[in-house]
Amino acid sequence: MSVHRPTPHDSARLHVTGAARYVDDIPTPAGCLHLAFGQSTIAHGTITAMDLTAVRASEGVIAVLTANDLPHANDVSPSIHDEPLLATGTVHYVGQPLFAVVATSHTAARKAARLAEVTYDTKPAILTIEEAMAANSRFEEGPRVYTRGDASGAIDASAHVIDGVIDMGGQEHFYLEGQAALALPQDDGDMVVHSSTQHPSEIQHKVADALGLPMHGVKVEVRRMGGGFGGKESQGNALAVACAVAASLTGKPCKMRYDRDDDMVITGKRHDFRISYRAGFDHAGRVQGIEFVHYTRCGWAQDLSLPVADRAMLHADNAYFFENIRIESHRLRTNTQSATAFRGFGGPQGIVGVERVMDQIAHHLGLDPLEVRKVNYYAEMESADGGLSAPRAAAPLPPESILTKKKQVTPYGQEVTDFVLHGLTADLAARCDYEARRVAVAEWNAGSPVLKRGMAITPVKFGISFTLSHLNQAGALVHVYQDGSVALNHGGTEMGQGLYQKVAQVASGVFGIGLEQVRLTATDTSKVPNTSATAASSGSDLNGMAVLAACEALRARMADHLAAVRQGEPADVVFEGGLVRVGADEMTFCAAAKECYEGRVSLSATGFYKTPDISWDRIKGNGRPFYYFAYGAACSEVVIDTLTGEYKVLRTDILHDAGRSLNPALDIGQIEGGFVQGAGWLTTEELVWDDKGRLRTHAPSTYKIPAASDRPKVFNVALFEGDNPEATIHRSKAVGEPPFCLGISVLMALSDAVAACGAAYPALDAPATPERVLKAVMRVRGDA
Amino acid sequence: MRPFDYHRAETFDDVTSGQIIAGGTNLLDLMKIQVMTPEALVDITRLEGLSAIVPEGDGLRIGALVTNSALAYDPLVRAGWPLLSRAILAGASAQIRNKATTGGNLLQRTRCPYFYDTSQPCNKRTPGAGCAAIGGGGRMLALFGTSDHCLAAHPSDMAVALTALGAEVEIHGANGTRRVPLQDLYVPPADRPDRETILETGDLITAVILPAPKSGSRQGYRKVRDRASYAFALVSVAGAVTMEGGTITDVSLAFGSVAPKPWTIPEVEQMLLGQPASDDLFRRAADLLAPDPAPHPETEYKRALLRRTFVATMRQLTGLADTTGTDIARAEA
Ligand SMILES: Cc1cc2nc3c(=O)[nH]c(=O)nc-3n(C[C@H](O)[C@H](O)[C@H](O)COP(=O)(O)OP(=O)(O)OC[C@H]3O[C@@H](n4cnc5c(N)ncnc54)[C@H](O)[C@@H]3O)c2cc1C
Ligand code: SF4
Repeated sequence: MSVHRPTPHDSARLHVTGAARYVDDIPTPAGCLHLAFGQSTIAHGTITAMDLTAVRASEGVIAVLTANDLPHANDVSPSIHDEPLLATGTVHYVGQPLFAVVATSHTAARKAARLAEVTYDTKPAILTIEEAMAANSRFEEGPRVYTRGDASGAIDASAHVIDGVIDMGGQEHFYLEGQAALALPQDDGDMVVHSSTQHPSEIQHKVADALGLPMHGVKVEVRRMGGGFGGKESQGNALAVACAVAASLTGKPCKMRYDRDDDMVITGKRHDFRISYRAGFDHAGRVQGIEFVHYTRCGWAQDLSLPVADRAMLHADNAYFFENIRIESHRLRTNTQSATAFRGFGGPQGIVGVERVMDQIAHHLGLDPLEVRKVNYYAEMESADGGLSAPRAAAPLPPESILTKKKQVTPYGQEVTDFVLHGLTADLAARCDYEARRVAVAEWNAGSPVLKRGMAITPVKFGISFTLSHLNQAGALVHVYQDGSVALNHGGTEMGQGLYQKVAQVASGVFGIGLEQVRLTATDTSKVPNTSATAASSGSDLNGMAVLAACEALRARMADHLAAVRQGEPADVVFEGGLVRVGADEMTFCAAAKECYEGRVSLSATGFYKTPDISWDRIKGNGRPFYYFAYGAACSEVVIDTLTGEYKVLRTDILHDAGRSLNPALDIGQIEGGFVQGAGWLTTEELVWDDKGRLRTHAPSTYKIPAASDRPKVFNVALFEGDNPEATIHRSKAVGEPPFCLGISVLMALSDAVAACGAAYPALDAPATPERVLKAVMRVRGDA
Repeated sequence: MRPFDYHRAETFDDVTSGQIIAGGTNLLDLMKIQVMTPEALVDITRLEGLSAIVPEGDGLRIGALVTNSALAYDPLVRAGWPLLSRAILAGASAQIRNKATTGGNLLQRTRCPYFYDTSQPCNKRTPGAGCAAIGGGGRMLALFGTSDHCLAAHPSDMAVALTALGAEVEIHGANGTRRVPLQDLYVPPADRPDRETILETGDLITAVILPAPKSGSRQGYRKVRDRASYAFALVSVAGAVTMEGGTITDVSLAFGSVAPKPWTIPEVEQMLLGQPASDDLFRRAADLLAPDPAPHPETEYKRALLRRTFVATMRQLTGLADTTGTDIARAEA
């Protein structure tokens, strides 16, 4: 049985040898045409004339498509149909596709796309939060507000009060494989589409609408992506639809891939946020009342911004119980790329807000920030049998007062019944020698005028499930062939996270066979229909269960037949070690499959799963949006150079809760990668738009993702072992997004290091680039 | 990339038919995005005698095709000119350094983002087209030596070290071989920022000559950047200092990523010479380092950064500060 074992990624060998195939590697049939978009060069205005003569005359150009040439729907929005594939008169951001060039090569198409003569009637662009608020430019009628208790009154009645603002930038996904799609025309107008997408069913839907076909006329296939991170949940629609329309009009295969600069200029990114806050607390730092106002720039179209902003609100509490809380959220419409899903989906932004508050409270009171965090933690619950809800190794008991507390409920009405952060944090602090090292850092700083160190532990509690409840479903299709090989298919997509491997492990466990006998086939809308995006960390939770259901159905059919033939009981049939035992009889799984086939047993089954017990009213902000929470904590130590603002992460220790891990090697990989990506978001990755709304950082030369040498010099990652109390697939927990939030420990450690330079609170914004760190140092020293 | 002719040079005189290509790490990138569109390439990598590092007197003769890696790891260089080794290793990545050559490094083009964006005007790319950086974004631009036509900085680390070490460049041309101080290889941007050096068609850099290191000198290279590796300098300072009994008896400095070439400010060296090392002295010298105001508003920060980096480097080189406590590159958990 291979579940819970650290087996390597099924494509690891292909990845490192360069043999893994991505969309652009698929051999195309003869005559394949290539597409490129002509893009808007202004942020807002109406097109008064678009002269495409030179574009059409350019070498290799076969066709040029504008909005008027589209036969059916001109829409690639995943939500409210506000996103035309090609602009229809008004342009909303720099980079917006205006027309599509179809040419004989990628380069010919891109070159021609630049030759258009477009004249605009330029209108004032709304770029900043201030401008959007002043113009009341927003999605939804007004701000969304969740409240519990009387936050304002509680703050005013508190012994101490702080307030402040933190800005945090967006983030480019920087998937290694850029957006790409290939459309192959079929019989009678049908279309096959290969797309680098996390959401094949959505591509199918959008392509069908654009071609005027029912969904059964379109088949979408995805073998793998070279990274998605949320950037391929909706942003691949434009390429797939454009290729499908062009393929349908020309009868030729059509392919499109964005060049990196085009990709960064055209596609949406993580939402940037400004969060202002006010908090009242007692002498121990225990919060009495807290208020947040979230402002987020959603860009020009709605895309997934509402659930993103919702999730930010749902994580405004992170790991902390607030009796009195008010969260107000403004979803602002701006003339920039339409911000979209990105690992964490708003959650990290909400968490950064409250972690800043914890940090500032500690600074205000002169306490260790970890102490302030701990006194505000949710209580660890008592379960029915009197034990703690999730007994884990080495978890010291929380104080009496907490044990006897009544059940604690999040601001949105969900009971927190599985809280493990008391034990987890204590375990991490012991593993990384937190207290002694903090003392050592303070001593070291006292003798070091130029370099200063800082340290911080930050926790994460992350809600698992799509907040749009109906998305929490999945299907699978499993075949056992007569030679005993097994083919699996499900709606989840592989983007390097190891979903296929985990699911194969589940199947191999059910049939008691080796992984080499199990093959995961490319995600395909004609095999499993109506799938949800592989997102919200839910890939293995949902698809693992669906595959499990299908495999168990097949195993039961096989057991029935094998037992009946031998006058045995189906319940006594054992599938183990590649063998099947029925009473005294023993045969290989291959022989068993052949026998079942010859016995005319159906060896193909579908499986289905829906997450139980969830319900959510997003307008009221009440219900149980999450099936469970995933937890983790990280301790980071940094050093800054107070002369230049440069910094380095010296050491990071992580303890993360993946439940009973399906595959510890893959999970640790996700945790390491998530942490580094989270730290990159908050440190070196800076998106800069100029006052014309042009994104100025649209290539790796100016947009700096962390390099290998930016990882912590000492990097210890461990799993917090234990079962998920909820009945998830083999009691594991989702691991895609939660560890991203552990990168926040780097921002807080930088804040700690800056705080060592003077008396004032650093109030470090993100990304904390060296420039920002330097300015913060000057500020706390009072020589700004 | 545009189609081009390719020719492999057989002799030093055989380089007139096109753009010279050595490691190609800079040129090919620029050709791919059509910032440079040479009709023909002349590959010099098979030329004999350009790949060796040999002593010349007490100095060193470095062939133009010596790779950045070979140079950085050369035992003679590490012993006598550690500054050079350190500067090279602070740049690019191991893979790139394995391909990049000494000659190519000196001639690498600027990293001004508009230079790379063919949809933007740039005088360096297209003389007379205008300069998008003026009035645009520009935190990588220069502080010194700019013109009204171009504000771009030279991005090399190696060339900064070589300047502080007093290197000369050997050029083979139509009229034979000549040597010029590295400083004189580069010409100011003036109204023709596309013209960056004194090299004419047919000129081939054959070697870089290092004079003997000053005995007893301490050398250092400090590069400030946005990210710990794989990033170009925002500012850098190269220095070699000789001390006798607390007094600076010899000093040579160069500043990187702040001008269209590795920059020197002789007044700074004069102020330091013959003086006892002190924080006060360094601070006064630092005041000579910053034009006021910066030529571009977004490089304003570089003024403070350069002053501070200079002071920190001088403190290290004169022993006022011990490197373990002040050099972030050496900090460990
Ligand atoms: C991702 C990346 C990061 C980098 N980071 C850094 C960094 O941090 N610091 C740094 O200093 N550099 C950095 N570099 C630049 C790198 O050092 C240069 O690209 C390299 O040194 C150029 O050498 P080459 O031999 O490849 O030159 P080529 O690309 O072959 O040529 C460059 C130019 O020099 C000319 N040329 C080459 N040799 C001669 C010769 N002998 N005589 C006359 N003309 C000649 C060519 O015609 C061409 O114009 C980076 C480069 C990349 C791609
Ligand atoms: S600064 Fe120089 S390189 Fe940059 S755009 Fe202006 S002319 Fe071109």
